[in-house]
Amino acid sequence: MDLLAQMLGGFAVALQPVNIGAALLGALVGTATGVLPGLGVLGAMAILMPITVHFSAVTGLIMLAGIYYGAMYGGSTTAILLRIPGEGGSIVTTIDGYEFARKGRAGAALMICAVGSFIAGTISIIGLSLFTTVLADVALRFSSPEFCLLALLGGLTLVRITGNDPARNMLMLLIGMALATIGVDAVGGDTRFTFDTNTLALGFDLVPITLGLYGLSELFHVVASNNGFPRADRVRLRDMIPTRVEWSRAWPAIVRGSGIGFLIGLLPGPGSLTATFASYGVEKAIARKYRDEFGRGAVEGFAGPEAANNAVATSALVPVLALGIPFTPNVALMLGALIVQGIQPGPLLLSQHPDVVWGLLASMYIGNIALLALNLPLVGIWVRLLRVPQYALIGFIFAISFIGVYTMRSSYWDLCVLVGFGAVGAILRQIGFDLAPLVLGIVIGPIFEKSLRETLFLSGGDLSIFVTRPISGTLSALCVVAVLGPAIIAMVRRNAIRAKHA
Amino acid sequence: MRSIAGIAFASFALANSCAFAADEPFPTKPVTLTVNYGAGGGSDAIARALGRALEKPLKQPVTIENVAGGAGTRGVTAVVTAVADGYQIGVATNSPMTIAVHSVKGLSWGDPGTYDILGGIGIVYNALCIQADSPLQKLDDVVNYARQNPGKLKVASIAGGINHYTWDAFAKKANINIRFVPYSGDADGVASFLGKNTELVALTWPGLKAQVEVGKARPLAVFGPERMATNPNVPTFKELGYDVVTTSDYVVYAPKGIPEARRSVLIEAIKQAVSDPDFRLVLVAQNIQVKFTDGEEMTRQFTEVFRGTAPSAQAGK
Repeated sequence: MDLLAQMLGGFAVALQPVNIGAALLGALVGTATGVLPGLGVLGAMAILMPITVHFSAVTGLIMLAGIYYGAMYGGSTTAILLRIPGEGGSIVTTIDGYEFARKGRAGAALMICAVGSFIAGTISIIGLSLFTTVLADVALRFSSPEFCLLALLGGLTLVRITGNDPARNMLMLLIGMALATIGVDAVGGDTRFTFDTNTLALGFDLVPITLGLYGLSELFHVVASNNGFPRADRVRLRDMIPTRVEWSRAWPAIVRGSGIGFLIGLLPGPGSLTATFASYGVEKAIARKYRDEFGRGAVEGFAGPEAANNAVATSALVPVLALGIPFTPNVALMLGALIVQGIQPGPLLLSQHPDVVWGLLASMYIGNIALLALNLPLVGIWVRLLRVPQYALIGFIFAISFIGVYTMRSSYWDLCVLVGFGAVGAILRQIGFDLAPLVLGIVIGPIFEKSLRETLFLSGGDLSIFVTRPISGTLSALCVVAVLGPAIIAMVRRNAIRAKHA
Repeated sequence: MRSIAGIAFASFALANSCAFAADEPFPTKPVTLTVNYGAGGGSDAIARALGRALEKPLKQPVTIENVAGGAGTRGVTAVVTAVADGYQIGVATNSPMTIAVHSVKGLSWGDPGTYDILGGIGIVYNALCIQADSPLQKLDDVVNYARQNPGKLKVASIAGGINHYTWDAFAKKANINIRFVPYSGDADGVASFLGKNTELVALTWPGLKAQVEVGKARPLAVFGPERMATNPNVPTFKELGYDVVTTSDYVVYAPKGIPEARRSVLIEAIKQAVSDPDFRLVLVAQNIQVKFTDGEEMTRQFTEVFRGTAPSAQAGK
């Protein structure tokens, strides 16, 4: 009853015209940054942040949160239509989403993503409203040893789920992890492999790498070959609406993806990337009937990850609202909006400023509905994007990518990384390497190293800490299964076949 | 854009440099306040609040410029290399000036004598807290336990920065061996402590205060020069017999060589800004002790830490 009263109080705040306006503006800006490759959510939030000073704290927070979760809606658009991920969380969508679009179902794919994002957003906001305090305590049980094993498990599973050759994937993963060691080391603050240059000390940022490997290399590929992007000669309503079979395959994946994303979002680290890969892995592992379709346009292959991506954005707010600890820069920026107003974020935020917290939560329900209403009509417009002459489209994407990457840190080095990795990506693709493990290596490398070193500092160099804690023990066991499991299954099958023949 | 404006501005300033006189009105155009981190962080919030508070006494708009990067050093470079006419000032913490300065290559400035600190505006204390349910009550209990059980207690903190420097100084004075577990930021360190992975946590007070208020962490002492006005029951390390005083400070600084008359106008404005209630609100929300400290005193403190964290000093340990 108490909860209901608080929720109603929240809606009273969120339904004030200025706050509805803030949610809509945020959602709109968020969608735009999500759609345009290279323009980061963080950048958009930082640009709008000074404006929030002129409004009340809750209005500012609602606007920034709108940008944050709005971007998750838009991120899939270019991934599906052009095979260019708008941000890290859309990389997985380029696999099956793009293939699905090539079958002439681009509109249906976008619609599934929009509805999936809505469902995931709603599920996770309900989770956030009901269980914030409990979940925060669960999240605290995960510490350095667990993060280290999670990163290891993620790497071990990924090398099996994408592409065809685990050995090649492992090589890419390790190269990615090695590249991530360049720059300032997160534990000791020492600079490594920088040859005494400040440029290399900046390290490799994920955005230019992702955009280079996927975006530019795709453009190079399109220019070099004569195939081009998928064309949409006629845009018919029939092609926009998913069929009944597509729906019935999509929604269970959306629900599973929401759950996976919600749980992963509670932990520090680049949640959207890990959650989308995890969701893809789960969908591929449990698929029976349509298993062969993965990599060739399986609905589950993009519906699940897109839902996971949205759920992460919402559950990442749990540690902030319950403990006052921001695990990602995006969320830290939202805290900044509170600090500017003289509100102290922390575990007492909920009891001292219930209007802010519940107003934000209520505004997210409204924002999600607004996003669905905004994105469904946009589907038709996006699909028509494919009718733009190819030369214009390619030039535009080039320009936007360079601007987006440069605005992040105002660094020429990042532009070099963008172009360099574009070339690397094109070559790797040509010789049949999958790119996803490389990106994941760059992402999990620092987490693995940092948490491994923190763990060893904690235990004084004793490795038994990885098996003696309940959660870390379970994760260690899962890692062993991930390595030995496939070999054992293969052996059992061989024996069964032999027994049959004997 | 910036560089073109800068060149035009520099030539204008050179042509007029002989016109700086004691009784000329200052400022007659907007003043730029540079902050060395991006929009949205704690430093940015402070800069924006300071800018608004400075506008009242200066009677001119104060524009905020975010120059992020290089572990906070790029913003300092932008201020230090600007024309010393008083129209460009900056706000920063001591971290880029006393710590990052040793590791970032090719800076056009170095020790605190190479720029002009106009005054300190806020002080962040470094504190040591223990798990609320720990049987060890006072700092002396912790020290005694650590002496009898070397390497058994663990403290969550951050490596390489002011926290590490402070902790080493304390551990040496107290002659104890407590395992230093380095995390990459306040959030990670506090989360690990809350998950009961370490018994102790040594971070800045703003990162810890909220956890103290909800009873998750118990403060043992602060490394400040005196007790905090907000928490007078928390002793200082100094009064407990461990003479380690380090603080993180927000200072307002400028390039060297601003005409004395203009410099005193700016210092007077900063003093007034520090007593502005709206400004205090933003700093108090981050648990920063709001206090004006004389520029010379800040320069002395910065120089001390600058020397203490220099690689040569570290290597000599």
